[in-house]
Amino acid sequence: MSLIKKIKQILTNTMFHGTETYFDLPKNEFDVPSPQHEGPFGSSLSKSISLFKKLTRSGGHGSPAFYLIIGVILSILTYIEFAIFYVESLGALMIPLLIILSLGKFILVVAFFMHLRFDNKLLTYIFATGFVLAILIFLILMILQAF
Amino acid sequence: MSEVVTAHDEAHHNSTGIDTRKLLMWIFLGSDCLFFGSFIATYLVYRNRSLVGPYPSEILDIPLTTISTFVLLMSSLAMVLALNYTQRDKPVAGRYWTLATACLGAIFLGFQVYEFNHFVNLGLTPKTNMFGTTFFVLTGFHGAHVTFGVLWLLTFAFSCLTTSLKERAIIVLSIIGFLMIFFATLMSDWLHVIPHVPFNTVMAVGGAGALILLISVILLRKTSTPKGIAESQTMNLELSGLYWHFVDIVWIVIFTIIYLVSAKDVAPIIGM
Repeated sequence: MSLIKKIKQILTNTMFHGTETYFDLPKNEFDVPSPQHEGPFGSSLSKSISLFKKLTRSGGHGSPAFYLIIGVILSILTYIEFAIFYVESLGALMIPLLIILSLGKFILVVAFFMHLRFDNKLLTYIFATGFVLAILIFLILMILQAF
Repeated sequence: MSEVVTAHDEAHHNSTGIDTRKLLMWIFLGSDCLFFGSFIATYLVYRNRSLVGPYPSEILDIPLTTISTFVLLMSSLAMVLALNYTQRDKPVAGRYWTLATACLGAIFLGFQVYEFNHFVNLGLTPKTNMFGTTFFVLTGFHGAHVTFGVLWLLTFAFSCLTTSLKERAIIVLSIIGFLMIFFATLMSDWLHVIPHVPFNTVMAVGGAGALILLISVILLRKTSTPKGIAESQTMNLELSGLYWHFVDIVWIVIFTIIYLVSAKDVAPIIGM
């Protein structure tokens, strides 16, 4: 019994910074354990998120270098699309892959080149409404065609 | 002058806090989504329903279309750089990139002219089969959008990013030079869109066009444009940029669905 207690104490001291119960979730910011960024990813996750925000929101608009990087990514995605067109072994997997890649290009252009990421959210909703309606028209046509 | 511009700009604001022109542009782009969505859906509904050839697998040229897609993507990059430089109060760079956008758009149109001409030579017209009808209507409307965008950008560069008559003359010169190269390329033996033109004529037109373009581009590097002019035109450039990027994303979808997904379509099996 004492051995189990000892093990538990070692575990709580080494892994959970002395707090008794792991599932006692913090209720406010003062309950959060003192070493910040505790967890499997450490601070890398939150740091990369803040770097992404900093890159894409530098003074409201990106720099020419930032747009060039987006342009290079778009070209690489286009090349990947072109390359996987000739991979015969993909079979039925090819069409979903192509659609995902083109969706990625679509989002990159709309978010950064058309500045939707920097702009008022209302514009995003207006464009999304049109886009979703277009997809609905497409789906309804495909369903009607089946009968 | 600046007071007039400010009053003019303020008149365009409303309760949403967004410029009215920009709001209207986005509503238009949302409705244009429906326009192109309908054509793409029609293409997919009639996919594999052509009773006679030529079928997509026989005539679609994927490497060529990949290059034209790349050109259109780069024109989008040029457009965003044009806007960025104009916003950063660098009107000369902004004007160069605006003209570069229009040029890349025209090169894309050249690819499309070549492709349409090539397809008609191979026997595919809008009347031939369902593939021809849906393909030409969809890509034709997209090409019309690109043409309008090129004209818009050229008109904009000519009228709004210049102040003196000399600059306008130089821009017209550069457009003439570019058009000469454009038509020389279409006349060349390699593309054969405008047939039976002697080689010497093609070289003369192309060479003169290149010379005119080079001289006018060098002359454009000095500007008399006051910085305030470029600033007041930022919103107009942004609107044309939004339109241009929209045309680009439509082509991203067309390239995937019409070219890559259905390029291996062969004759349908009748009597299923």
